[in-house]
Amino acid sequence: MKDFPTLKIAFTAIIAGILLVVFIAGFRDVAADYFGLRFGERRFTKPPIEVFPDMDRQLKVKTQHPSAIFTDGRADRSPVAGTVPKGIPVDNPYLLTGRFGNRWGTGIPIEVTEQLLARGQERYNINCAVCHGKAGLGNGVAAQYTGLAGVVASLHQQRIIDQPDGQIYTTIYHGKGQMLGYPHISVEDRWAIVAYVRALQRARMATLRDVPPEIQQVLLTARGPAETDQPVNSNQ
Amino acid sequence: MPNIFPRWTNWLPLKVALIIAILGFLVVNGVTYYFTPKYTRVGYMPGQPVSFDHSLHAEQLGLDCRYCHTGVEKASHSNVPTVQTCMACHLHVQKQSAKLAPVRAAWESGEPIRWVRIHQAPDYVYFNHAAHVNRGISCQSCHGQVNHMTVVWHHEPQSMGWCLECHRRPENFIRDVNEVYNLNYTISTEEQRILGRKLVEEWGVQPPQNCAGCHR
Repeated sequence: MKDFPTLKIAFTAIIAGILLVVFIAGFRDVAADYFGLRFGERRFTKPPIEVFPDMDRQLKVKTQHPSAIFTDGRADRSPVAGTVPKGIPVDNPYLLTGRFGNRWGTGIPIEVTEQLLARGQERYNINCAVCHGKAGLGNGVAAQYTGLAGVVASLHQQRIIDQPDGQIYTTIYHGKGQMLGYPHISVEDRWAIVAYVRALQRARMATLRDVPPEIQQVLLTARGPAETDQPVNSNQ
Repeated sequence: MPNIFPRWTNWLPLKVALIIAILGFLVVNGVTYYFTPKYTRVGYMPGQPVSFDHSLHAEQLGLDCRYCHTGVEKASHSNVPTVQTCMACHLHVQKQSAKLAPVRAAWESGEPIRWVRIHQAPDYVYFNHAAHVNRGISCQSCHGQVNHMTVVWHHEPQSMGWCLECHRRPENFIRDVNEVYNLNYTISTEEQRILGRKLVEEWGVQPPQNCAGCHR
């Protein structure tokens, strides 16, 4: 090596270069966490390599995954027509269908508690408010798009106020008119939403006398002297 | 007796040792980074059959994660939505859009849309979404701010060491159950420490660290 100083320098430089790159890569987390340095955030479309693929991918049936067992790739066979899923309250038809025979029933068939209303509110805000709006006025964000504008119902229409509970339940379950059903919402949650929709309707028709006395005072000072029997929200 | 080895070989063992040490260092560092999900998985951003834009739906329109991922609170897996969920709006909105043609085709035929899976734990890992989201671990903790992604990509390594970071110190990540689906949530380290400890104590959170917690 003594006779080739250039080679020696080149060799040292290569080793130092590789070292530096690996050092930076190896301590990327440290660099990111403590010094805020980020090196080339990578995006790639090829499936990730599995370095040690031992039993990582097994032939068992997995959720949301095509199965090799049947030719159509589905793990489950479609159930025979008329099959009743487990947990469906077949012995309580009103709870399940919102009907008594051919007629709509009314009344919430599960105990209405504050907890149920809170659940209904949460589920309503997730599933219904997108179109119907958080207050039920039919002005949710999706309802402002071409195609849904003017189509989404306000839940405060007399027509819907007058509907039996069972009919609102069925609308959630199977849809109605332009609205598709939401069968993935559980039976209890559908009734919770019905209860919450009733609460929204009731709240909109409420008068000052419906609120607790101490809040009445707050409201009165906020809006000045007013007619106590008028609905708080006067439009519609 | 003549010298069998020339003079320059005197330093050879040291040089060899030095090169082995350097190579060892390189290999160890390289493997711990390039052979682990930090490198192999983070950044995976496959094309999808439908160019669904999470930043439009989840951020601009403000849809809750659970509008589409309906089963996440009940099931071990977080489902992709059924075509019916898409069609609830797209029966009316953007119904001519070419981007939605595969959705309409699936709606007509009943064949599922074959979304490309991005996050995929090995099959010997039994991760349960419901157990996490119902106990204050946000979507964001494991998937990043999906609500700002136009095309979803793998944000966190999701390796075992990464899981254990939280299973050993859940107080660093746990949040109020009402904030689980709020992917824009931020909290200072100091507040997180106080809140985290409180929640861990109140709920009696004891994440398993034994093998059988996740592997059966």
